[in-house]
Amino acid sequence: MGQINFRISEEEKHILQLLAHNRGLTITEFVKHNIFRIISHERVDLAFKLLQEGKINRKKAWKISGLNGSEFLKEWTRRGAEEKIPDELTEKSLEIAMSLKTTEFLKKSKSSK
Amino acid sequence: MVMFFLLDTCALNHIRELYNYKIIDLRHVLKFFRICITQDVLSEWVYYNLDHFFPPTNCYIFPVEDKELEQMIQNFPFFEDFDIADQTLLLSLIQESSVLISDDGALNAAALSINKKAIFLPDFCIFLVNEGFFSKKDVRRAIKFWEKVHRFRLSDLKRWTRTLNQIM
Repeated sequence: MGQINFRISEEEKHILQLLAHNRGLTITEFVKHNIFRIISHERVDLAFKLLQEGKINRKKAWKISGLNGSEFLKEWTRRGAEEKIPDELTEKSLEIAMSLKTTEFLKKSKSSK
Repeated sequence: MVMFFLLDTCALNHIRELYNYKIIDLRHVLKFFRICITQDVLSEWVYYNLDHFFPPTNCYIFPVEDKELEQMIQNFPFFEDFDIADQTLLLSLIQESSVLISDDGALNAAALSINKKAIFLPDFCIFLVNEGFFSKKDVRRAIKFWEKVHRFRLSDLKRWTRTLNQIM
């Protein structure tokens, strides 16, 4: 777990206390919830920008976006996103797939015991 | 030789998408195979509710020791860029006779860079056709769907279609 500390004035703290209390939350919970709510759009934009620039991979983009599985895929489609990967990688993985034999991966069936 | 398929979170998310859009349900076939994950991968599945879609009872959970992870990072420092779940998959790939099914390009590239086997979900689907588990028609439908939703690059989808057409 990471921790962020920052200083605020007594007046600001009092306002946060009132707001948090009104929601039945602690100040920490209130601040954390609101920060992530405020940056939610920015997270999605940043995730797809970095992906587009080839700076991050698919999984990292998903995590940065903060979206759930289906939301992330819908957003991917909406933005016409693409992961930058070299052709040789997909060629090689296809070659591997074509060389695999089912029998090596099958669970032992009860009848064969 | 006894081998395992390691299944990553991105690939399972794509498998669920295929199911949600009524394209193809790969779970019935996955259950025939030795599918492996790690505790950290399982935590991601739980976080993204993928454990309800494909219960971990269908999987073997590889134990991962912190010391082994540290050793792996020492040997391959660039693996540190991956999150903990992906790191544990790479470690399992190193330690066990296995093939990684992942839709994360960087993870697959990392696996191949150390001479381990990694494939994308469409590769796995083609393997399933090649081995008689699915018809070409089923997988063509998946490829068309992926094209429609931009899930993979067009050039790769064309390659997969060509290979599919060549299967007797």
